[in-house]
Amino acid sequence: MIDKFIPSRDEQGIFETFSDLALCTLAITLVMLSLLATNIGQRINIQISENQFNMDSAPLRSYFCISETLRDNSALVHFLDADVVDKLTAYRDTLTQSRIVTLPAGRTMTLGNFLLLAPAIVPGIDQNGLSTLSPLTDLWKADVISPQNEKFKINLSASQSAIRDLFPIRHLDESLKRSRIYIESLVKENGGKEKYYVVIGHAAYPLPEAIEDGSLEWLRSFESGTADIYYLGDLTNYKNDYVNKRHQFFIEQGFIECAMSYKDFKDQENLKSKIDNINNIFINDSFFPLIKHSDAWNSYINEQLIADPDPPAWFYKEFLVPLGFDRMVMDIPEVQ
Amino acid sequence: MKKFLKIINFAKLGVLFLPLIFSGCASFELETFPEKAEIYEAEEKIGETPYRFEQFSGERKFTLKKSGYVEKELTISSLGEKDSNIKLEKVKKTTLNTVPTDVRVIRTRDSVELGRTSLSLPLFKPEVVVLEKEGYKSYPLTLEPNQTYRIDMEPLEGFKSVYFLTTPSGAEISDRSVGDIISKTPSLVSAQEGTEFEFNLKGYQPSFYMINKRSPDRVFVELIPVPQVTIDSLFGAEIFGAAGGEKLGEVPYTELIKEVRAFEIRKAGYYPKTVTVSPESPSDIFVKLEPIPIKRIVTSPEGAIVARIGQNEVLGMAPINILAGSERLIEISLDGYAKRVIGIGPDSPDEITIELQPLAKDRLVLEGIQNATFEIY
Repeated sequence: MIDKFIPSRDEQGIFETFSDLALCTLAITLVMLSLLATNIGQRINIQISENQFNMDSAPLRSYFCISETLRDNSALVHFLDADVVDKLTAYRDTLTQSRIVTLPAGRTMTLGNFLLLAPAIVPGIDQNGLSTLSPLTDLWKADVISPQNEKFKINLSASQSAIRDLFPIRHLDESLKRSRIYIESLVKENGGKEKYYVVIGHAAYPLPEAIEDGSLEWLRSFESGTADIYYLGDLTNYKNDYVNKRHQFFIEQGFIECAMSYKDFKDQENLKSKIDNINNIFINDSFFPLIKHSDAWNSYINEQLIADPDPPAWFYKEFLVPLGFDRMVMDIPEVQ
Repeated sequence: MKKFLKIINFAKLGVLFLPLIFSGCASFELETFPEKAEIYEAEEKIGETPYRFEQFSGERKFTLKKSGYVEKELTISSLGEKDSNIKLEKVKKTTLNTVPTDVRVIRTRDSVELGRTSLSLPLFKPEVVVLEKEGYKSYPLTLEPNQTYRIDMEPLEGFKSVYFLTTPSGAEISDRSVGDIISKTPSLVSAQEGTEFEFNLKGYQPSFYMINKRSPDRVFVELIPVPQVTIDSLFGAEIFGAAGGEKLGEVPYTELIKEVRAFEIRKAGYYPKTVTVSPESPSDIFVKLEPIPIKRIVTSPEGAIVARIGQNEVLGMAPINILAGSERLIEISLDGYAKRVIGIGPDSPDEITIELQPLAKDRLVLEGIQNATFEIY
């Protein structure tokens, strides 16, 4: 009678097997979870640089070339997609009919405008060790047709010397692997409202106008996984005795000649018109103080990089996100 | 009594001095012609002729040696003649002929092979030799200087001696299984029954004969000449072994054809041709070569570089004549003009004119110039 309430020997065996199985499953699950947690922890430990941004896009190389009019030698700068040009070059020997390469407006600017930006551009190299901004070679010859039907001619030697002279340290220097564009932020009072600017070299672009009218389209030439935007800091606040924050730095750090040159540059009348008419580079006697006094400018950049400033919130919303530079760069020293 | 004793004593003295009495009769003189032969006694030189010596009893054995003369052994007895005048014989040839020939002559005392028959030797003393040949019984023989011998070798049992004759004579006889050359015809050969012989003579096909029990003593083999084939073609054509063989010569080329053979005839500007000949082929063969068509490449403008694809091998500058033995691609290039690749072959026209098109220049069309809404900072 009592035996009915006591589980038989066989039933006991089944229960023991089931409990063993459950315990084993639990143990394996715990081990897996701990491994997963360790892995996640490792991934989170990778540092993100909060003032360095790029695009989730394939590495891109550009050919840089200068074309000049025959009429008054006014010069234009073009950024050509290197992959496209290389393909065109490969078939140049058998070409009996002209091929047309259309260059968007964002890839062409006046030489003066390019020289305004040049101090903030540092070309790097791509994954094959080729410079991300190389001068065009004579392997590809093309006639330049401008919208006004004005005849332009590519000046290969000027293109080569521009790259060589403007980027003397960085040119073919493999220690710096990624391209850089140094950008600062600026806020001005405009009718009681704050007006945002991004400053690249000597050019301060108002936002959002510069994005809407395509003034910043030239940055597309650097939309690459290996080209980074470096935020150098905010230029808004400086002591009233100085022209601006940069001027303050040059004076305080003893770059007096640069500071004077910079002030004279800023004080000029019809500056934009003068810049539009520039058709040469002349590094040592450059019209642009940040090019002429590159030592002072590089010192300024280094100082800002050490300060490691975080960009303001509007910088993301008004500038980085609309242009697509919305990815923070992992802080890995060997790929800087 | 005393007198008697004196007589006895005198007699004793006489016996004692008897040899001295006869001493004048124990002198010997040995002379030779020519003189100055060396005299050896028991391998020891004792003097030269003429040689005087005393010998009272017994015998003495001398050996007379002189260069260029046969050694002479001499025994002098005390009772013999007192004066010996010996004429030495000059060394001449000792000739040994055997049937069959090519028998090994081995000196017995030191097992040195003196040579193979037929053999001529300058012997200055007798030599004991053994004659040996495979298939024959060994034959011991003492060769005396200046003698001529003819020995018929006796075959071993199970062996048979056959006298081989060929027309023409002089064919090499070799054991087909071993390959060694045994003799040349005509020749008597003794061999085991079942041995197959090969007869080779330059210009003749090899013949074979197997010795058996019923083989006659004389076997006549008629050699059949190897056919000669002369290959002729265009002047300067070269003959090569077929399938990439080495160069054999130039036409006209004559070769003995024992079996089927293939040759390739080549001449620049002509297609190579392979010809197969056999012993049944006619003695003279003329091979007609087909010329490779020549195509003239003319370009407009002239002066273009004509090369193989990839310009690894430049053929020359247009206008140029090119052999078009088979279909081939050539690349034509000239600075400032678009490169052309054309195919030519035997069926192409004799003159091909290529119009080169000037290289076109690409056009870079600017859609506009970057807007510049910015302030100078």
